[in-house]
Amino acid sequence: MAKEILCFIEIDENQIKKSSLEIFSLARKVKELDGADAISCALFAEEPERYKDELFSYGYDKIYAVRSASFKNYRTQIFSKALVELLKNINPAYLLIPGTGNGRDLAPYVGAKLKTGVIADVIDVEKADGTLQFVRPCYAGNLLYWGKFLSEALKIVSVRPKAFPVPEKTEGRQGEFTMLNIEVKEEDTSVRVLEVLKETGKISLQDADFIISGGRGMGNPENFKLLHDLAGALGGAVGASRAVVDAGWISYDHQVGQTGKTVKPKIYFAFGISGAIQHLAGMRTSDIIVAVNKDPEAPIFKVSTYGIVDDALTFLPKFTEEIKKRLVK
Amino acid sequence: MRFVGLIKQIYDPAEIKPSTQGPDLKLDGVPKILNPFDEFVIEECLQWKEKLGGEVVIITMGDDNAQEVLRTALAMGVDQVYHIMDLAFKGCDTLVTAEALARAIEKIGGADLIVAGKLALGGDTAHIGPQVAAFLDIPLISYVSKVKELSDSDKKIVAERLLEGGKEIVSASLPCLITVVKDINKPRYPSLIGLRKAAKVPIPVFSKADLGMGDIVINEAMVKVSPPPPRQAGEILTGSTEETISKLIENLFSQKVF
Amino acid sequence: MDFLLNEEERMMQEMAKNFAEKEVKPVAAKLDETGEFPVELVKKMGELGLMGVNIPEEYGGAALSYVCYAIAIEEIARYCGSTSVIMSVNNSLVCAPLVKFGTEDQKREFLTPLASGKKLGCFGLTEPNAGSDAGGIQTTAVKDGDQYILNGSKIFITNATHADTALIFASTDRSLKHKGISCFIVEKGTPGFSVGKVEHKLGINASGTAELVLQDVRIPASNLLGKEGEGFKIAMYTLDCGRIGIAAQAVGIARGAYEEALKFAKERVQFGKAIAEFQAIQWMLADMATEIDAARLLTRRAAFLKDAGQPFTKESAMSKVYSSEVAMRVTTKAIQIHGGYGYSKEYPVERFFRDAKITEIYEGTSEIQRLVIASNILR
Repeated sequence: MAKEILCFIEIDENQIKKSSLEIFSLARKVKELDGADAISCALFAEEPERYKDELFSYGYDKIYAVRSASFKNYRTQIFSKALVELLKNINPAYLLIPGTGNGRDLAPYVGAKLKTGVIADVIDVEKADGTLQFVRPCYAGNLLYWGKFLSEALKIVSVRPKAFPVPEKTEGRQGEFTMLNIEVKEEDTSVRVLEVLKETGKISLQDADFIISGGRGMGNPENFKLLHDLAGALGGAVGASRAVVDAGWISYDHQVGQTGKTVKPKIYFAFGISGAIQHLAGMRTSDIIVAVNKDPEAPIFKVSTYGIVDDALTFLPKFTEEIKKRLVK
Repeated sequence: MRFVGLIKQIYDPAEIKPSTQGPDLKLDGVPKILNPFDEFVIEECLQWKEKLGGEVVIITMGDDNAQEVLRTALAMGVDQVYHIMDLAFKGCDTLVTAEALARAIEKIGGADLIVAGKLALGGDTAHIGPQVAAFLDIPLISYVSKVKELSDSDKKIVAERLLEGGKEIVSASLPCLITVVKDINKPRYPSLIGLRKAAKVPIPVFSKADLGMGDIVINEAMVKVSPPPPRQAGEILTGSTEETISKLIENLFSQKVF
Repeated sequence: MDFLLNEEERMMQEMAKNFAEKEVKPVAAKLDETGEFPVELVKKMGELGLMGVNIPEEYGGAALSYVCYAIAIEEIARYCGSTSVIMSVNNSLVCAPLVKFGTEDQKREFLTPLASGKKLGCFGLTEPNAGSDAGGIQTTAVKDGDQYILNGSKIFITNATHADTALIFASTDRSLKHKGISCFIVEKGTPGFSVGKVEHKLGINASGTAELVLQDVRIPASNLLGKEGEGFKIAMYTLDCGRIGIAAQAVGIARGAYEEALKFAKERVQFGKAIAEFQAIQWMLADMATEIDAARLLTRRAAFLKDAGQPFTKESAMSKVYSSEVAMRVTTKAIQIHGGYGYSKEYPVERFFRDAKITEIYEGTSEIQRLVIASNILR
C-alpha cells in the first residue's frame, strides 16, 4: 500500500485558496522527514476539473476529486462526510488541512468521526527520537509546543496560514486525476448558507494585526491619507500619537499610548513618531516595530525592530507601492 | 428549551512567564481563571433562556478547582451545573474531552442548543466545539458573532459567522452546536446574592464510569514547550529610500507576517 | 488562622476585580477631572449588590461577610477613590447602623432600598464646629407632638449631593452633652432639608461632598433611630464599622499607585537600563509591597473579628490608621518613581496621591484612631 500524504484543498469564489497551496510545503517537509510515496490532495468542488492543472503545477502528485453542487458553500457535515469516505478508501498516513476558520472545523470534526489524533495550527515539523514532532503556538502565542502522535493511525494536522510558503510552480506538470464516486446531498446537513458578506467594516486598533501610526513627522493632517493607504493595502488600522490628536489632525479613538489605547499588533509602523515614553507605553509589546523618522536620535529607534532614518513622507508612499506589488504575488 | 454551555477553567495565560518555561510546562502556582470566551457562552445561554424559556445547564471537565467556574456560572444565574472529573482523564487530548462532554450531554437527556467558546486559551486548539458536534452527530456553526433567530417551534437557528474576510449568515436545525466569539453579547456580572448562594450549591460529579467510557486512549501528546525565539535586537536599515524599502520588505516577509 | 481566601471570598474578589476593571477603570480619570457624581456607575453597583454587601438578605443585601466587603472595597478603590468611598459610606455608615439599631419598620422602609441600591445614603455627623469633637454638635432636634423639628447644618458630608436618605445626628438635650445626641433618619425632599455648598477638594472629587442644611425640618418621631440619647453610641459603633471600609479603601489606593509604579519602573529607561534594575528603586518597591500587604492583613483581621461577633474597635482603629498612613507613603513613593511624569495628570499616580490624603482624616483622624487604640490598650 502506497504511503500518501493527503492535503485538503479549499476553494473560495472559484479560486484555490492560497493556504491550500502553502500546506504542500509542509507535506513536502513531512515527506522528507518521514518518507512517503506521494503527496496527494482532496478536491471537493462544483467543478473540480477547473483546478487540476494549477494543483499539479504546484507539485501535487494526485488529485482525488469529488463533484457536487453541495460543495458550493462550506458546511462541515457535508465536507466531513465526503472526506471520511475518501479517507477510508485511500487510507493516507497524514491528512493536512489548511488552518483557516473552516479548516479548523473540518480537521477536528473528521478526527472525532475517525477517532484519531489531530494537532492544530501547526507552524513547523521536526524529527527527533525517530518521530515527527509538530510545532504549534499555544498560550496565545506566548509558548511554542511540540506535539507528537501516539499511534500509526491517521495523523491529522491543521496548518496555520502563512506559516509555510506557496511552493514554486512548474507549469505544465501533470499528475493523476481521479474523480471519485462519493455522493453528498443537501439532506446530509441542515445547515444552509443564506448570505455571504465580504469585509467592509473598519478594523479596531485592538484587533488589528497591522497598525500604521503617524506622528508630527507626517507634517500635516492631509498627509495622513498616506497612512490610510497603507492600512488599506495591509488590512490594518490607523493609529496616532497624542501630539497629532491634540492638534486635531485625527480623532481620539486612534490615539495609541498612555492616555490612549494599548495595542499589540503583529507589526506596528511608526511614521514620524519620536517615541516619547507615553507613546511607547501603548505599543512597545508589538511583535515587530518598524520606525521611520528623520531624526537618527529619536527614542523610537531604541525599541524598533527595524529603524529607518528617512523622511516618512518620502518613504511611505513608495513603501506602500512596493508592498502592494509584493502582496499580489 | 434546554441550553447547554460548555466551559473550561484555564491557567491564566497572562501569568505564565514564557522565559521560565520549557521543556516541561510548569504550571504550579499559576492562578486559574474562567476561559475568557466562556463568560460569553454562559451569557448567551442565559439571554436565550430569558427570551424563550427553558433551562440553562453548564458542564465543565476539569480537576477539583474547576468547581469555581461552575460556581461563577451559578452566580450568574444558570439552573444546573455538572462537573466531569476523573483521574483517568489526566493528560488526555481533546478527543477524549469531547467524547466525555458529549456523553454527559446525552446522559442528561440532550440539548436543543449547545454553546461553546471559540477556543480555550492555553491549548488554543479550537477542537472541542467541532468534536463534540461530531460525537453527537449534530450540525456545527462556528465563530458565531450573533444569533439572529432561535425558534423552539421551528427547531431552527439563524446565526452570523465571523470569518476571515467577512461574514456569513447561516441557518441550521436544532439540536445544533455553536461556538461563539468574544463580544457576541455583554456578559452580566454575577450578583453578590447569586455569588453567595452559588458557593453553597452541591455540584454533581460525573466520573468516567458514570459516562460509560472504557479505557482512555490518547492519540496525541506534548513532547515539550519552549518560549518563542527572542525578539530580535533592533537594527537600523541603511541605504537609499529604495534600498531600505527593499530590505524592509524582505525582512518582513521572511518573518511570515503577511 | 487561615490566610487564604475561601471560595466565596475568591469569587467576590474575582467579580469585584472584573467589575472594577471593566466599569470603574475607564471612567476614573474623567470623574476626578469633572467632579461629576457617577450616577450610572453607582446604579450598576447597586443592582449587583455592592451597596449592601454585608446586609441581611431579607433587607435587600447580599448577606456576605465583612471580609468579602473589605475585599470588594479594595478592588474598587484600586481604580477610583471616589467610587470606593461612595460605596463605603452607603454600606458601613448608613446600612450598618440601620441593621443594628433600626426597628423592623425602619429596616423595611429605609434599609431595604439602600441595601438593594435603589436609594443612596449619607451620614450627617460632622459640623463646622464639630469634627473630632463629635460630641460638640450644635444641630438640634426638638420634639413636637409626634414629630421632631431639626435645625442646624452639617459639612463635608460624602454623597450629600445625591443621597436620598441621611442619618442626621442632632442634640435632643444639650445639657447632657454627648449623651444628649440622637440619630434621625431624614429623607431628601423633606421641607427645610437641602444641600448647601458643594466642596471642591484636593481629591475624591466625584464623591458628592457637600453641606446639608436643616431649617425647621419636621420629621415623624418614628424616624428616630434607636433611643433619644443613643446617638453618640450609634455614631461610635458606625464609625468602628466604617473604619474597616476606609482601611480597605486606603489599601486599594495604595495598591493602585504601587502597580502603576511597578509597571513604569520596568518601562522607564535611564542610564542605559530600566530603572527597576537600580537598587534604590527596588528597595522602594519592596517597601511599598510589604506595607500594602501588612495593611491588608490588618484590615482583613478587623473584618474577620467583626464577622465573628468579637469586639473589633481597637483592631479597626489600627487598620485605619496604619492603612491610611501606608497609602500616603506608597502614593508619595509612586510619584517619586515616576519622576517628572508622576507630577503630570497624564499618569494616574498623582490622583492616587491626592485621593490618599483624606483617608488619614475622615471617619476619625489618625490622631483620634491613636486615642482609641491607646484607650483600649490602657484599659
